[in-house]
Amino acid sequence: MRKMMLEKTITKALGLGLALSVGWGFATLPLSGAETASGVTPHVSVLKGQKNFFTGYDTHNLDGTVNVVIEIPAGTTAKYEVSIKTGLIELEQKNGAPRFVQYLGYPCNYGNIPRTILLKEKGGDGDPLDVLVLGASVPTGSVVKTRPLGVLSLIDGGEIDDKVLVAMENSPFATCRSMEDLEAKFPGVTTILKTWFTSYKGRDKKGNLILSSTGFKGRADAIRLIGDAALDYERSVITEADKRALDEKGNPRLYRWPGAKNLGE
Amino acid sequence: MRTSLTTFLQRAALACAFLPLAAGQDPELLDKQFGTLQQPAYIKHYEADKTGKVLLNPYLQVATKEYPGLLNPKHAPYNWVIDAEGRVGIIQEAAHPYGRTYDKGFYRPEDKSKRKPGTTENYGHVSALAGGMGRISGEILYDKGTNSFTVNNKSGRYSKNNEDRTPEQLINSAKLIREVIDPGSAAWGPVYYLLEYSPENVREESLKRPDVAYDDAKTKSRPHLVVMAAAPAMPKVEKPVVKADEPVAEPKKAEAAPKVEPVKPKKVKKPKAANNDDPS
Repeated sequence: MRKMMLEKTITKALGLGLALSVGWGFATLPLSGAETASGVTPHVSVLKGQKNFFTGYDTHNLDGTVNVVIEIPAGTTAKYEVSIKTGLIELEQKNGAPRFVQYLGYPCNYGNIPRTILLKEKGGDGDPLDVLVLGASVPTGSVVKTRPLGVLSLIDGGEIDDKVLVAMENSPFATCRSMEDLEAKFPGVTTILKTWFTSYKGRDKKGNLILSSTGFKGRADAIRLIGDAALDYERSVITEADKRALDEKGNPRLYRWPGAKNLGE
Repeated sequence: MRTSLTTFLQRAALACAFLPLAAGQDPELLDKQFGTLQQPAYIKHYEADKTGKVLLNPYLQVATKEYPGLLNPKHAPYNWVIDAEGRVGIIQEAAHPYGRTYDKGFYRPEDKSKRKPGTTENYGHVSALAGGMGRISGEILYDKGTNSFTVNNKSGRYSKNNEDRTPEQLINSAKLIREVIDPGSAAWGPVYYLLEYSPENVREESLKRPDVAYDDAKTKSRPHLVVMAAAPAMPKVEKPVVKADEPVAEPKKAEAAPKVEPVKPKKVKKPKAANNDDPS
């Protein structure tokens, strides 16, 4: 209660400008400014996590699950996204105003995979890999374990804008192993997702849907897409200076690692 | 105060004693089936970042009955490793971001080996476990000639230099791999136990066996045992050459029958037991 009062005070004190939730977690995040009880509509809303949302979490876990940072909880409309510059989650701005989807709330959680990038030189948008997360709605800034199921192939203005479809661990969807499995166990889900994602941006001047889809690809494509994007991220940030120096003959030096037997010694 | 702490510890110990072990997760049984948990023999200089963190493979799959792995011939060869809990980690051999390509080759101090010119430093077995402890491991190779995936025990980190990486453990692993990994449209080929990656006593005994095989019998290169045959292929439905309702044309009797060249049987190359000479 006290935290909520404080949040309101800060939001108002900043002249509806910056509601920065440094270290406070999800409670201070105005999830949907236009819908708050106080009627406050923040122009800018930022969430700082315990770690950098872009670089602070691994892509994979040892159990093979894939980490996803939730940007937009299922059922909401505020377009939050991870900033690759700051590592914070920010409310997207368009024409000087916060962006809310002018449609039904998202049909699933939406987020991205940390330490991945779709390189512009490879036809990507320069952002982390987008993910649709099946499971209960979870707050913005949550980092959840997931398993890939497939890929929703989307075309936005002529450009490929594929989204990886994953099932959240410990959710009813976690029992699915493939797209066929998903269709069999949860009929209609793929249709709902395809309909929503091809419809939410509306139509162009000619009356055609702005977004189009060629359907879903399988799990193997999802694994490939995630791996490629993770590898591209690592390669994009690692420089020659980050690599261990070679010896005078151009050979690697013996590396001693505390957890290995180090047989080369 | 001390009494309450003691009581707490006693209760905790009692609770732990009754914690049920998940089916197939008994550590002793796993040790027997897939080899004891061992540290990797070494970590190569490029596999850890400057903080000492060993990077996980970006294409990592951890296959279980609940969530099977997938193979694609285009992305072979794969490395596999049995982890502490008896799961199968599978990875692809992509070029490591901290690695280099050596145009003139190089000397690798970890295993005291000379690498060929053009060698690229790839993700190895340790990238399936972030450098952690593992059981027996090896490779999954695709053989185009038979459209099948073969399995071996080739790993310089988790198989070689260990005492208990036996043929039986490889058979157990291969059975598990066939159970929890989907080879797609390919079949499962034979399983090769490479003697260069076995314990010394097993190698000495196996070399005396009449069924010991080699990749090249003349040079006696890469001695191995075929410890499991290829899995029976799925029955294929043969398409009829001529449709039933299609009339078959009679050959003209007046013309001489064309000479038919005898069909030479296609030579199917014997799949190699291992991918290359890099112990990974």
